[in-house]
Amino acid sequence: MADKTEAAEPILEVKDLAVNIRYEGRDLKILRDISYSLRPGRTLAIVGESGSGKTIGALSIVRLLPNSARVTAGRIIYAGRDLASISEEDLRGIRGNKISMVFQEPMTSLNPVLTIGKQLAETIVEHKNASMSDALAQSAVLLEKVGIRNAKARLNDYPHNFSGGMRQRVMIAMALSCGPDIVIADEPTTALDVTIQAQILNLILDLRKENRMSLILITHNLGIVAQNADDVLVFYAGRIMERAPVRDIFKDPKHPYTEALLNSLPKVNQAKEPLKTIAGLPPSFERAAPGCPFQPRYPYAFDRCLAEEPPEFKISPERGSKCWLRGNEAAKA
Amino acid sequence: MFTAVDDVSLSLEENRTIGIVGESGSGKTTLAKLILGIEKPDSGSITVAGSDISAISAKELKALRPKIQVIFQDPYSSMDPRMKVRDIVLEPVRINKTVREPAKLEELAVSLLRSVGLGEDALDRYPHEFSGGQRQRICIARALSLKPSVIIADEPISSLDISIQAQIMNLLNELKEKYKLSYIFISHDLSAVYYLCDHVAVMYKGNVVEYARSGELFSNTQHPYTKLLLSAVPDPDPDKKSALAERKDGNAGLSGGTGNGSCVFSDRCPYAEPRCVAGRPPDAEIAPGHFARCVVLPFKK
Repeated sequence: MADKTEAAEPILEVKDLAVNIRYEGRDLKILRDISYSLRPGRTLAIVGESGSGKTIGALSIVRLLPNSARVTAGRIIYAGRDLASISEEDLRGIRGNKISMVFQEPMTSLNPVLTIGKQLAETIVEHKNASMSDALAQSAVLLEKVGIRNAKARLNDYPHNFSGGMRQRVMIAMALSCGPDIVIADEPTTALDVTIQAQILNLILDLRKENRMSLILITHNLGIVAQNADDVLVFYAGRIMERAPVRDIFKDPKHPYTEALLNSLPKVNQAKEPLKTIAGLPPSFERAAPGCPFQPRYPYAFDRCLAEEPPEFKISPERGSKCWLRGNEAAKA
Repeated sequence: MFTAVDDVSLSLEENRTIGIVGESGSGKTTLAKLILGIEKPDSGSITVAGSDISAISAKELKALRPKIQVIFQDPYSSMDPRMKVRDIVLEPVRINKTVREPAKLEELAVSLLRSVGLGEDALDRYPHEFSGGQRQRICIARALSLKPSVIIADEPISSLDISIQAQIMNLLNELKEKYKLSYIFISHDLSAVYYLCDHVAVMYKGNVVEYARSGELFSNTQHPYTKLLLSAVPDPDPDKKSALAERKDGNAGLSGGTGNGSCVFSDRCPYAEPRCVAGRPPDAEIAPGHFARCVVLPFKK
């Protein structure tokens, strides 16, 4: 699945990112020690359950944070600049242009009172300084590219004239319109039927290859990860618990949480025994307990797990795991 | 006007689970509503515990309703956010007056919550105080309150995190054994369907296009639409790359359609032949207990 891209230089590097949120008068840490890099032409999957911080982890790259949240530490290096510290004006020139987004609910991401053509063209006019008529012509080409037939006519349609899958294709067209280097797709297919989901994912991957973009794919669906990702970040309680190439994550996981997630999947054509579940619930962000955040749910936790939060241990240049079990195996990152 | 549910015949045995698999527009939700008695069929019958619910009086239907209960996809919107958990799980009992004494009602509420793994402390709390998985447990407790024989679960786990899905699937199986329940499990999640169901019916545009024991459906898939569905589900194994089994252009050059005119899948089917639009394929038993509405694929060698 990995492209044979020669460039080893990452297109995006996130270093020690931390995000806080203001909630009921208190400052809560919702993301901490987030470090990863994205290489050109590769797909990075960010996996986690609700409250893991996976969405904020990706959207913070382009500062799409709720008003109550802010980056408190770290750097986001793209094209030689730190996106965490550039001005909002400069960032606006990058967002939607060089780094674009596809969200989960196309119906709420699209303006219901503007035609599709107008919305697509708007982005192009804004970022490419094109005239409206040029932008509309380019929009028609984009719609064809994402598989919408009679594109020119459909430019005059409104979002409600499209099915869910078609609307998501429009969102993808919009994300591609300015030739981005990176596309961030947040659960882009969760709201769609399974056959449409497969079509949309195929489309995203084909276009990624064609345009030599990098893709950050946020999802909780491990099947989607296995089929589409090159590299994976496993988020839990606002931290990256494990990061590795996709095959390693599935075949040789190095974190108890990753293993537990894989074990909770029912597998077709296997014996129907009770599924292995993870007892308990993820920790609340309001209580800052010491030790590893996953420890309360892990039956084999030992003293150090309760007392001290593990740092990331580097298992190889491409693999890291925040677990004391890995402490003996590798040097500290 | 179109036919939402077209010539569907299914049976559910006691203490068994039947899976209804389908995407939007398949008719699976309409089918659920028909079985619950919320919608009336234009023709045909729905027999529950010996009575045809489409033919009995409103009074008789009301007496039968407790036997068939339902759990929905979104546990939050299926509960009144202003009601305490106690009142939510007891509401059906209060409406049907099956238990009246306050002490007995309280006992029942505690026991219902316990059977779904929740403690007494939940009784005086509100839905918003619980996680998605816990809310679904509350809905399951509510569904059990009238001691039903059949529970229709309409996508009960798809909005939950995967580790919670596993918990709820285990719970559903435990309750099935404990209370000798029968389930109709509507879902698009094929691995969950495989895990929970004894038999599976695959629906497309109002028709059951394939029906078989769950193992047989997955290992000996006979209908092109089922093949398409299975190929679309991403396998959580990076070494097994799946490819979507459909026509790239989505049009076999055949008009496709609904009802008696032709096979409903013919316009998308990679195996379609002209005889597929000559009339609707009959429900053929192509292997013992395995039915498919296709005149081409099951007969290819």
